Amino acid sequence: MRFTFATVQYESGDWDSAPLLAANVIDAVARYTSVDVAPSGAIVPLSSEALLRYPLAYLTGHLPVRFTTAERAMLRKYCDRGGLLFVDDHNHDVDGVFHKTCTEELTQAVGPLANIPNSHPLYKSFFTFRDGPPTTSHELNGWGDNLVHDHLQGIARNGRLAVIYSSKDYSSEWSFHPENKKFLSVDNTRFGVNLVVYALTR
Amino acid sequence: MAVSVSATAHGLRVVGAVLHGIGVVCMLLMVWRLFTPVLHQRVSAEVSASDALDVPLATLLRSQRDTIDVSMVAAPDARTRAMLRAVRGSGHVLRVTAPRALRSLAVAAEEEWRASGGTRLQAVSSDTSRHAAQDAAGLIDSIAIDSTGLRTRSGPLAGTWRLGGAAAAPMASNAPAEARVLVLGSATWESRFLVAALEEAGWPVDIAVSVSPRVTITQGATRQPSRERHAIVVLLPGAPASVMATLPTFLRAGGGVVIVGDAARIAGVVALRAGAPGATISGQAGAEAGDEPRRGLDLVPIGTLTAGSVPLEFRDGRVAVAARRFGAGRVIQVGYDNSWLWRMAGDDASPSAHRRWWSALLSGIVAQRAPVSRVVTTAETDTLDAAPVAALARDVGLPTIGGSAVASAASPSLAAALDLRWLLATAVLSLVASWTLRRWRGLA
Repeated sequence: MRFTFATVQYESGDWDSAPLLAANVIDAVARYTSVDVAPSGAIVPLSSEALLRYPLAYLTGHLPVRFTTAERAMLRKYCDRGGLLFVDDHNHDVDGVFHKTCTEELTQAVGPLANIPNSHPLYKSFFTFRDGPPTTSHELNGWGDNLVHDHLQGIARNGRLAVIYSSKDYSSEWSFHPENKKFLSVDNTRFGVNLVVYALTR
Repeated sequence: MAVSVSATAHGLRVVGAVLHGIGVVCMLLMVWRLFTPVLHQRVSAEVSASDALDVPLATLLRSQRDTIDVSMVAAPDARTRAMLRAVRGSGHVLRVTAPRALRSLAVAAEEEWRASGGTRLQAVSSDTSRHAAQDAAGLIDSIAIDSTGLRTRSGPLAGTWRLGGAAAAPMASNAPAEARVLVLGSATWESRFLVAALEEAGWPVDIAVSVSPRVTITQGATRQPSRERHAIVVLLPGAPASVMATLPTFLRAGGGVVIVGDAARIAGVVALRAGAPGATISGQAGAEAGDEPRRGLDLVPIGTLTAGSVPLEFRDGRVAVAARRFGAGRVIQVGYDNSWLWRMAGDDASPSAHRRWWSALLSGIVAQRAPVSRVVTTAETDTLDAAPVAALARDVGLPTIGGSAVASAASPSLAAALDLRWLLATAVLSLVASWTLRRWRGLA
C-alpha cells in the first residue's frame, strides 16, 4: 500500500489554511526518495476511523482549536496504535492562539509536550540538519519578529514519537506550488522528506 | 592262607577294575562333553518399578553363568541400561523379558525463541495416562497424555522437565545467544509496523530499509544476514538483491527466513520460497476490525507450493501462510502484505493481536527446527530419559512379552554341570591307580 499524505480535518478553527502544503511535500518525497507515494493527498476527519488508515497525518491552523470528544478519543487511539501526528502552528506562535489551544488539546488527549533534542534521528532520517529543525523565512523576517524556535516539541508513545509539534510555521513555508521550487537555491521542503521518512522507518 | 592271598588279590582286581572303569567312563564323558552343546546356565535379575536392577552390576559381571535373564516391570533408567549394555559386552547372553508390555512415554523439551523466553514441551504415550509434570523447582501440573500426543508451552523451566518416568532438558541450538531479527526491504508502513510489533514484543531488531536508491535507513551494525548475529531474516518487498546469495547458507546453518508478500517475487527468493505468489487480492473493506481481521488485509496468495512446503493458513481456499524446511533452517512465506492495517484499524485488541501473531510466526520458525546440539552440564542431565522404552530398544532390544526369567533359570543341563577339568583329573588318577594296582599284582 502506497504512502498517502493526509491532512487532518477538525471541526473548530481553519484546518485547511495551507492547501498547497500536501502537494509540495508529496513532490519532495517523490523527487528525492523511492518511496511509493500517492500523487494526491487525502483529507481525513479527525473523528473518523478512516484516520487510522493514514499513520502519518498533518494538522495545522491559525484559529483556536477545540477538539470534540470524538476527535479527542480518536486522536488518543491514533497515537496509541502507532500513528504520528505532525502539528504545525500556522501563526508561528505570533499571537499564541493556535499554540495555546492546540497544545492544551494535545496534552489532554495524548500527553504533555517536551522539546525534541536537536540530535534526534528525525533530523538525520534523510537529509541532515545539524542544528535541528530548519528555520523558516517567516521566523526570520516574514513577520519581522525574529522569533526563532530552537526546538520542535513532541509526545512519545512506546519509545516512538506520536506527536511532533512545530511552532515554526512550515505551513506557510511549504504552501506554494511545487513548480516554484525551481526558483529556490535550496529546496526548503527537504525537512518534509525527513518527516515522512522518519514516520516510515521509526 | 592261600584263601587269604586269593581274597586279597581278588579285592585288588576288583578295585583296579573299578578304577579302570571310572577312568574310561570319565574319558567317554569328556568326549561326549566336548561334542555336546551346553545348555546355558542362567542367573536372573529384575528391573523393578523404581527403574533399577535389583542385583548389583558387579555380581552380574562376575557371574560364571552364561545367560543373564532380566525381567522388567518398568523401562529401566539410563543408568540401568548402561549396566545392561556392560553385561552384554562382558560376553554374557542377555535375555530380557517382561510380564506385560511396557508403557511407552516419550517427552521432548525445546527452548522457545520467543523474546520472553519459554519452553516448548511435547509428549506422547502408548496409552492414555495421566502423569505429574515437574521441573527442578517442583511440581508444575498433572497432564493427561495419549497416543495422539501433547504439545504445550511453558515459561522457562528450572533444569530438567520430568513427566512420569521420562525426563528431558531443553534443547539448545547453535543459534546466537539472542534471537535477533534482521528486517530488509523498502520503507513502507508494513516495515515500520512490523518492526514496531517485534520490538514491542521484545525482539531485538536490526533494520536496513531503503528510501532511495542511494539511501538506506539502518539500525544495527550490519545490513548483511549473519548467523553469528541473526536468528531470522525478514524479507519485505524491495529487499536488496545483494543479500539473496547469502540466504541459502544462512538457512542451511539453521537460520530462519520470513518472506512477506511481494518479496516472494524477488529473483533471488525463488529457490527459497514456499510457493509462487499469485496476483494480489484486496482485503475486504472494514474486515480488519471484525472477527477475522486478516480478511481485511491485502493478500498475495501462495500458489503452487514447492515440494515439502506445508500450508499454515488459508483464506477463502487460498494459501495465506506456508512454511518449508531448507537445510537446518526454515522458511515461512506470508501472503499478507499490509498487516499494519490490522494493528492500526482493527478492534481494541488488534495491536496486541498483531504483535502476538508476528511474534508467534517468528518463534516457530526457529524454535521448531531440529536441534543440532545439546547442552549437557551436569551428571543429572547426562542420564536424561526422554524416551525410556525407545532407548531400551536401542540399547539392548525390546523385552519378550510374557516371559519369566525366574522360571527359566531353574533348569541347568547335565552337559553344563560337567567340568572338563575335573573329568580329566578323575580319569588320569583312576587310570594311573588302576595301572599301579596291576603292577603291584605282578601283571604287565
